[in-house]
Amino acid sequence: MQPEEYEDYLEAIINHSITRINTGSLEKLSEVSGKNSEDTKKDLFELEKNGYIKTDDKGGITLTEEGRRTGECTIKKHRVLEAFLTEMLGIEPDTASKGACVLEHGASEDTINRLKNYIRGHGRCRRRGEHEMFSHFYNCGGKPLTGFSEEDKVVILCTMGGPGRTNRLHDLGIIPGEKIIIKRKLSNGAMVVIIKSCEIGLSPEIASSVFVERI
Amino acid sequence: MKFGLIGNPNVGKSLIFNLLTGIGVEISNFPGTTIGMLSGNVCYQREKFEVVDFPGIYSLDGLSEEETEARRFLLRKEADVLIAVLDASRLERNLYLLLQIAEYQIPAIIVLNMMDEAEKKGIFIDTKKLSETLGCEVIPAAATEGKNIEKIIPCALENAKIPSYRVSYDQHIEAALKSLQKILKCERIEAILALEGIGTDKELLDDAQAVRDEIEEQHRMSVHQIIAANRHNEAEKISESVVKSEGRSVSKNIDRLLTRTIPGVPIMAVVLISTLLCVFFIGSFLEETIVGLFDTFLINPMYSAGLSPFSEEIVFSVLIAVEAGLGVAFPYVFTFYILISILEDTGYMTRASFLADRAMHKIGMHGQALIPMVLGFGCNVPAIMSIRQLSKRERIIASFLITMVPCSARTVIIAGIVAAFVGILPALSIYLIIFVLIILTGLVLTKFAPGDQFGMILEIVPMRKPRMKQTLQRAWLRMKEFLFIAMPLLIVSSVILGVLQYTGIINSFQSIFAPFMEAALGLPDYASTALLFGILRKEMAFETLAILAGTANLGSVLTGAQLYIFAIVSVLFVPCISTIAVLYREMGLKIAAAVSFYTLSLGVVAGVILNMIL
Repeated sequence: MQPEEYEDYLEAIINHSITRINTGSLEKLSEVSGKNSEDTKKDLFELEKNGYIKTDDKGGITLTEEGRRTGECTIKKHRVLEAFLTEMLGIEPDTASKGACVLEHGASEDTINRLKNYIRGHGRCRRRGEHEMFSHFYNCGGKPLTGFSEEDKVVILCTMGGPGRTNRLHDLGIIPGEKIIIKRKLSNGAMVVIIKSCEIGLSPEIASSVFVERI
Repeated sequence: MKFGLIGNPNVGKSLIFNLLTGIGVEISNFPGTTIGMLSGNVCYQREKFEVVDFPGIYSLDGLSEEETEARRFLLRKEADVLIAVLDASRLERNLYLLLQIAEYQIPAIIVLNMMDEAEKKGIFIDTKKLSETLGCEVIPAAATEGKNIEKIIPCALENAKIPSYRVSYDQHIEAALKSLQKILKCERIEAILALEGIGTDKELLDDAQAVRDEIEEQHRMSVHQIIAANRHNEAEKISESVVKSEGRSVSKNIDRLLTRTIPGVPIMAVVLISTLLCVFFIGSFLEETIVGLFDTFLINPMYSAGLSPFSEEIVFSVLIAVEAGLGVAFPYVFTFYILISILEDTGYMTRASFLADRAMHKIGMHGQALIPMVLGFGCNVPAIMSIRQLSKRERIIASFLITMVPCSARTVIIAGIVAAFVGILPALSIYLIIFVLIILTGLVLTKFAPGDQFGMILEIVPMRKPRMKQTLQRAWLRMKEFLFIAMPLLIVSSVILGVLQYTGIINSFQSIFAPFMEAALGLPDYASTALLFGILRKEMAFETLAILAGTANLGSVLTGAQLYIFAIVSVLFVPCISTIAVLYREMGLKIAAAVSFYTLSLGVVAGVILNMIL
């Protein structure tokens, strides 16, 4: 038996959650190997001899550590290849799945990881939190909200600041393109704005991180 | 079968929960007051079902504690059917949350609440069309009038469906979701959360992080922002297709005044001060009555029962603790909570918070922290419990500041010792000293507390007429926290102190500290025992002092300066044992210990300085 056959069997055992040898499970496994159920049964004993699975007297099958690792690795390769074939090359899902079945055995783990990075978008790595610094090079124009007065109607161009601050703003509807009316402005720049027919109170530092333009 | 009640803050969710389950829960009119999951039972056709009330949230992918908690609950599919409550008068904003809920693929029904309020505003909603669009049953309701509430449970049982509406995101996001789902075999919702950096699967998060960076670079926007914008746009589309608005404005004139510096700030000052005065007058009247009843009917009979000295000590400790709880808790705290609940129910507190933000900001917190701080005047225990809605940094600062706020028990010391024997002005000066110290502490903590200070983003809720039943229920819920958390602690610690007293350990403590008290604070030795009792229960310091001095007329045994120093020290000196215990539960050992140590040193230092001056 070839190594790829081992992998196919292990993959099938995990995918179909097979825990016991019976007619049903042998049928599924035969489908994978293309052999009859007698030969498939023999192959299973060979798998056991090689330390991939364990069987017991009652016909139960469990994967060994090694077996599970090999099987899962194959499944991962399969998914990455399938995604590459469908998403990047535009191959039909069915054909892609069959293609992935063949390719998965030949591809090394390194190849798969590189391919995965490629799908991710050429695997360019950036430091964490760098997106928070957009504001430096991202000039959306407009003026901070604090520069406007009561009753002004404005449209939001962008919001700045880390996720802790901006996520709540976004959830309340303070996102680019949205129109707001300034209902109240205190001398320190704190504001009550009307957005989506709700009133939201903003402290000065929040108001100054929202960039807007008069309508 | 478990139902989950979910929705934005202030949509009448808690009222519906109340109407369904009939148990007393908090009706929140202030964002974030229903923290934690309340659960109750509802009977329908002789079967019992559980209803879980989610905290009021704006979003399911936020970083706040309530949002995280709600998200976890949904991901674990702990509710079989979700009852989503939307505010008909603000449909668009409410749909934003609903579109997120739909992504969790849990069967749901929609309760369109506040139809009456919407109609008053001239907003009419085509509920049939809304139901068709979302692929989910919609019940128009008005919880305050009890309209259609009875339809909720039958509908949830029979007609709950997984909402079929699906937000189609920006093409890059959709492509990313597709490949994440394919490569890692995860659900769409898991992929969406992972793209926003939320989840536990490390591999998924790593992969998502890479895609996210790519998308953010292309769009010059955070993924959360893109996703939020897509959702808002779809919510707007849906809302436009089902809402007919005549745009009647019902903005009340009084409301226009409340958020303006003038007269808003003076109004706020008047409201808060008159609340405190009201509490003080009603409270002291009730306190006298209750304490009098206790003495006549429980404590005196106990003494004449002729128990053995040890059991007498134990029984006395328990009685005095119960008396303390009911004598102080009931009169002051309950009156206070009723008044505060009225202010919250009207929606005034959000306006006050908005105005207070500027001042609160200086001491390291936001407008939202106004409620906990004001609650502290009643009792520090529920005040500490209500800081959960603040950020980590604010919670630390608030822990220190709230424990310094003179609660009703400390007010009793100031009134009973200083106002009675020294004078009204010195009594007020103690308040002044405390407030100055609170501000100074806040100023220092803003420099040293860890974490960043975010600004205030606070929804100003519409003004509403308070309803008697809701207000009482809310006050009762806070009261329950006091009774079931602070009272048991009081009783246990009272017994421990009683035993210490009986075994003579208190006396040896007194003899160790007496020289220090004498030298540094200029106080007689028995004052140290009284201070120790003050840890247990603040105004017990006053009573113990009277007992140990052998006279209730403290003015005859101690000088004015001594009384003044005693009051200052015992007011500042270590929060009471219940507050320490709650601090420990909410903030951990480190903060509880730090706060205790800080207030202890502050009290002693203030006493020493005053002793040198006076």
